Amino acid sequence: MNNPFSNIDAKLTMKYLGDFNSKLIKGAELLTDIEEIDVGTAPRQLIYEEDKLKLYRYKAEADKSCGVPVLVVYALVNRPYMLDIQPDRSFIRNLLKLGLDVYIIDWGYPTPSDRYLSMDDYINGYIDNCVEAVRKSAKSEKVSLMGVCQGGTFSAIYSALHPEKIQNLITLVAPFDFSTNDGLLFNWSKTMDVDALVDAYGVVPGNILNDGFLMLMPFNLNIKKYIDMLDVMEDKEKLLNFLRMEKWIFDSPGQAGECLRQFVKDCYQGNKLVKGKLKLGAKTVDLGKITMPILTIYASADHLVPPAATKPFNDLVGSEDKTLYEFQGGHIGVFVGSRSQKELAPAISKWLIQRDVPAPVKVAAAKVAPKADEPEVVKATLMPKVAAKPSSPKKPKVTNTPKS
Amino acid sequence: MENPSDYIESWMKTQQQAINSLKDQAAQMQSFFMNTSGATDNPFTNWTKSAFQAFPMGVDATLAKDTFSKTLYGNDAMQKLYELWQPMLDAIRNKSIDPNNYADLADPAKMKALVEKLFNFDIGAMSQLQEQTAKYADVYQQFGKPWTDAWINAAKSQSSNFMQGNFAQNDFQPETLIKQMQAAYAIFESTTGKVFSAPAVGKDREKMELISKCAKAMSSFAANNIEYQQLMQVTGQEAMQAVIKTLAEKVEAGEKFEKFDEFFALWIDVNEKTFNKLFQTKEFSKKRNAMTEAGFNARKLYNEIIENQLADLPIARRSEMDEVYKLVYDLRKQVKSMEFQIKELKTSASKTKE
Repeated sequence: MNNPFSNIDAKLTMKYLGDFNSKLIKGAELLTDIEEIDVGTAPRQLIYEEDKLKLYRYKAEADKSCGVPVLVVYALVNRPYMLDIQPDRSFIRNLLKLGLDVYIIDWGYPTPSDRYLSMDDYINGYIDNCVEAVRKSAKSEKVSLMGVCQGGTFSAIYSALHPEKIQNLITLVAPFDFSTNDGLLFNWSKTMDVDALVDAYGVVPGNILNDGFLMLMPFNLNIKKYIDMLDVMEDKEKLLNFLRMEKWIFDSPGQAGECLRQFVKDCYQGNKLVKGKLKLGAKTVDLGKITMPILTIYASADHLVPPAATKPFNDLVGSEDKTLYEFQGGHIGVFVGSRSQKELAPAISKWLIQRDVPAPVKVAAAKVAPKADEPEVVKATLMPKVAAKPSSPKKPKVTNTPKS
Repeated sequence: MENPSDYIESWMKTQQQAINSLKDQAAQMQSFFMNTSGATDNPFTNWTKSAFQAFPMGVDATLAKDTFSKTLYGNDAMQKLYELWQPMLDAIRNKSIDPNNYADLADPAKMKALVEKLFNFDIGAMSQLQEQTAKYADVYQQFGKPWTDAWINAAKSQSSNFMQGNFAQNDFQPETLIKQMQAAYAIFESTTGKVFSAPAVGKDREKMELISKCAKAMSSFAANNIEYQQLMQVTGQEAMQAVIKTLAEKVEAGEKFEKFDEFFALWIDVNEKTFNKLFQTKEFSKKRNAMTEAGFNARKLYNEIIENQLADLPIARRSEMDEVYKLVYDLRKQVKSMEFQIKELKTSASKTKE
């Protein structure tokens, strides 16, 4: 009888072990040489801070192509430098090269004193203050919001509550319809006892969430990935790239307990955002009040936020100008994949430029953003609320789903 | 050479030296690559230790070290995988066997060790928690100590049986063990366990009640945790069977593996799919959530016990800090709201002046 292992012999196995050791030794040498794993290197300037939050404006890399500034709202889980993981794989740098004026919120690392922060605090407090800071900094009446993952959900909620301040809404791989069971996280979260979790920890350690993420593909993420790493261990640049991603994956801030409690209960378990029953403070979130142009980007092979959780969003908003964009790839590949570098930022930039406001709305907008070393950091105070005109939707456009 | 006999003697000596030298080399190689049980992890263990010791502590040394550790962890898992399948590979090489009997050659205990390593099953932490609680129980509930000890010993013995002994048997039936655990737990609940639900008396009544509650929560966690682990182990076995089936199909199709890596890729793929199928089930969600919920509850009660212990010391306790955090949170909101109002008033005042 033939057998599948007839060509594997002891000599080959010993050779494998020898090669394996050589790679490890060489890799260990390189690892000890690496003193800094640099991430988030695009030059930027701190323009506002409040509690743990910091708001940055990136230094312009090209003439401004769009009058309305873009505020990136990242998820509370993991760190926003994934968008600028390394110079040649930087979603942020790609946007800057296309002339966008980009701001980003860095939520920081919550400590036990932040356990009582709620979704209302994050959305109607922090995001609103950042929007005000951006409006003042860019001298622009409105802001384009770009929310990533959970940040996309937050951005949509904010846009529904404060549509007058938002010119365009872009969401990337963000969940809205939590009724789906396509993703394991959605499946597991429906029955989890978030009260027990939050009551036990206050600020829920990032590691607990990370364990959940690793469970999504345990054999690939816990074993195979590190076996594959051996193949890049002898190449310093490739090893650094690996380490940058590794750093990002395990750089997980804790989650403010009350915010997490509401997010899990109201969104994952109650699906209240879609049902129009989500309450923030005294206000109920009505997605129908989102009337500005929206660009909804989802990843076809997203195992964290499945397309089924994202796609229904466009049917729930009041906007007439809405675009659904499918990216062929996974949740992280949207930002760091090699195809993404060529495809995504240009598509977003083009979409934004087409919807840029005419000059009168801008208030003496600078041609390029100030240099990173320029001054004015507003600290921990609220911005004066600039009166903004209500959103006036442009002429209707056909919903499209570009595919690469 | 003076005569033929000298030549032959010399030649034989040389040959003997060569053979001795080969034997020595083989022995050295063997001692280097094989430990006493025939596994091949010795050089890795030793090398890992020395590599870790050699690591400097730089800016990102922790991450580098951590990543390196995970690489070794992954490779260690691969080693374990190789050990697990090695008897089968040997058997296949040495003689033709019936693919349906491959399963007899794989050691379930090694498969179990792999699953445990992968999913971070750690009963050590639980045992430590139990022992610490027992110490408090000892302090505050002298009369209950024999029962507490009995319970802890029972839990330890069950855990030990499950984690080491029984599973390694080829005739092991996981369902039987779970039923055994459930029966033991039911007996505990209806006998000595009753003491934990009984109303306490005396000056330390509240503390004793808390300890009882915590002990009960921990026993609940232990039971749920074992059920969860059983589910994972059974799935691990299913995955092993699935790999065997795939191999058998390859045998019948006349396919061959050129490298162990190819088998490794197949193993990863089959396991990932088998576990993913489990993860999609309601049973998994239910058992995992029951386990984590019980763990969180036990932790919460344990924290309360610690707080009780620290009550007489001049340090801020968790619940007191939580009160401070709440106060700070409320004050921050008030201050922000007032700052905003002041700013609005100033703006409207300046507009009025103009």
